[in-house]
Amino acid sequence: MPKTLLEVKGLTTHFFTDRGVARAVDDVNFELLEGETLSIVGESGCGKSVTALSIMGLIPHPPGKIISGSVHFNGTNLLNLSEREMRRIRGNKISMIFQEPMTSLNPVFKIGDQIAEVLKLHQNLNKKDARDRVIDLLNQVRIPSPEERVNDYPHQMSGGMRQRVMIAIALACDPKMIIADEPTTALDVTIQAQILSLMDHLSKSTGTSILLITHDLGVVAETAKNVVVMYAGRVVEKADVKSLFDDPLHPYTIGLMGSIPGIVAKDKKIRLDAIPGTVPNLFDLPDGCRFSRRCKDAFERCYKEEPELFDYKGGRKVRCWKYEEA
Amino acid sequence: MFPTMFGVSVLIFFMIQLIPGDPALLILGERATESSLKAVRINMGLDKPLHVQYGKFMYKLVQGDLGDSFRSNEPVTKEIAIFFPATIELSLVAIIIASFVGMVAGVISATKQYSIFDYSSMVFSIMGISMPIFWLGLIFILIFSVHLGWLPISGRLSAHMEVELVTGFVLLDSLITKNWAAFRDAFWHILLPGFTLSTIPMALVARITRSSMLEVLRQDYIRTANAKGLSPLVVHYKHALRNALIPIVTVIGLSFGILMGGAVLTETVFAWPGMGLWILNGVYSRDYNVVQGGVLLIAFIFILVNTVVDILYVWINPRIRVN
Repeated sequence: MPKTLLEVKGLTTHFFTDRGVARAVDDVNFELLEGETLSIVGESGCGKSVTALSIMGLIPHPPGKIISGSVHFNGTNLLNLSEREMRRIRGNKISMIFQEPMTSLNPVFKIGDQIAEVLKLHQNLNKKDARDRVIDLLNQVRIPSPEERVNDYPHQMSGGMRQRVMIAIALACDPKMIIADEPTTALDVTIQAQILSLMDHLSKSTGTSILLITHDLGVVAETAKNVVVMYAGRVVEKADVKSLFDDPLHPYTIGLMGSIPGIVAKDKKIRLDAIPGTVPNLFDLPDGCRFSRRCKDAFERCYKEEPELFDYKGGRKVRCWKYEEA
Repeated sequence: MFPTMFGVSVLIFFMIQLIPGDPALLILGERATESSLKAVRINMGLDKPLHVQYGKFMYKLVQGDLGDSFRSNEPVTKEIAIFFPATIELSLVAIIIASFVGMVAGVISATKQYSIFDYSSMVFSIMGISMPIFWLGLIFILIFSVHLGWLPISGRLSAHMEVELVTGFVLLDSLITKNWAAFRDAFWHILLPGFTLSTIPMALVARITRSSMLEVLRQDYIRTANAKGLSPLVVHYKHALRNALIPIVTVIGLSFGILMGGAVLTETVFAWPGMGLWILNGVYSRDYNVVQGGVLLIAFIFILVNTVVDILYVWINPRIRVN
């Protein structure tokens, strides 16, 4: 039985702005096991990225603030650490890959130096050892002729190559965990598949846990073992990937599944089911269940009371009144 | 660079002819006879048509000869050797103070936006830009020299100090000859005029650094740098400032040229024996060769500095490099 690496409990992050308080992340709970890939899924603005940045302690403050909750990593509550202690964890024990490979690398420094920077910072490597390790890392992320590419600037590389460099930076210090925030969203489909299989391979060979944040259920199906579905700052469903796809429970998850284009026979014309309406305004959340205004199955209670995360068979959890008795 | 220099030489040569007044009359005085005036004009070559005069001027210029001063009869190059180092030294000190203080203030303002520091540094920079420099110089002299007695009132060196001149730059020469007492003396002398002259460029640099940094700090690669666990100092001064640098060095380059030409007021207030005062006196006495030579040299330095800035762009931003 693998150990729990990361345990997020009751994490609540709000943004205090002139327009009011945005409840971006509200009482989020999940855990990530050692060597596991866990995926957080949801639409834009559901709080996925804020959850990731809260774990990293990178919420811009002001306006953002973690109101309550705990983030236990290897037994230590990260939220109790000082900024200086947190810096020793960032890029070292927990590293992060971002959505935009085109703009996530600093345009004025050579990619080799950008990778070496973390090695010098966290592992005190000297120039030569750092360079050797950088070339080794570029090999691992399958960048051809790494001895030459170390001296490239980001603008000399394609998007896929830059994302590989970002992965190399993330891997540099053998982290326990990598948070990948929409790592393939900005890439071509063929490159997406390459990057995903690379991440999968690397996580298996190094035993690194991955917290994969995405809105793309295709990506989830391909890589994750367990899935957390988020909606408007709340966790609405938790399941292993197989049962989630076989038998989605929450009406929102069912809606998400319905909006994936499948392979359809030639003359059968099937319209995709879109979820009606839009994500609620985080400054002014509706009473009751946050999904109720868009839900096909909503009944009276849904508009008044917010359901808790009910247990469902097979260790699954779902936040919907339909499953109160299950 | 050369076409620019040529254009500048034409402009300077013909513009100076627009100043009313006859050099010969100014040299000989009002009661000079017509024939002696004519003799002086012929002697100085002022009787020839303008294009011939320009041709002669250029012919001598390429040989490094800027003609003689009408007033002192000394070669202009020799006078430049005396006055030019003082101005360059003052301008360099001013631009170094302005760049350093301006950039640090700008970075702090940007990283602590809307803080007390941000507001007060922006108030100071508005004041720095709008304050008349001769007045500010006088105020500084009153406070630091007269009342507090910390710094000398004027000049480059105290009267009893002697420096063996090698380059003409007093600070440098006293270092070369290991004359520490003179170095300290020259340093105290240049502090007040240097700081006075630096206020305007300092304010410009601070404002441009702030706005450029604010733009850069929102970029994704700054988030990456933070996620690497780098300290704020490294994130701000290495990752962000390097990207924000292009508009900043542009302003510094332009300011340097303006400083050199505009040092007249500061030089007057602090009795600094520099080019500004020398050229101004040249204008009053219609000393064409002095004005031409001086302005040409300043223009040359200005072009040179901005060429260096262009080269710096390439170093700062690798995307500008041509493969």
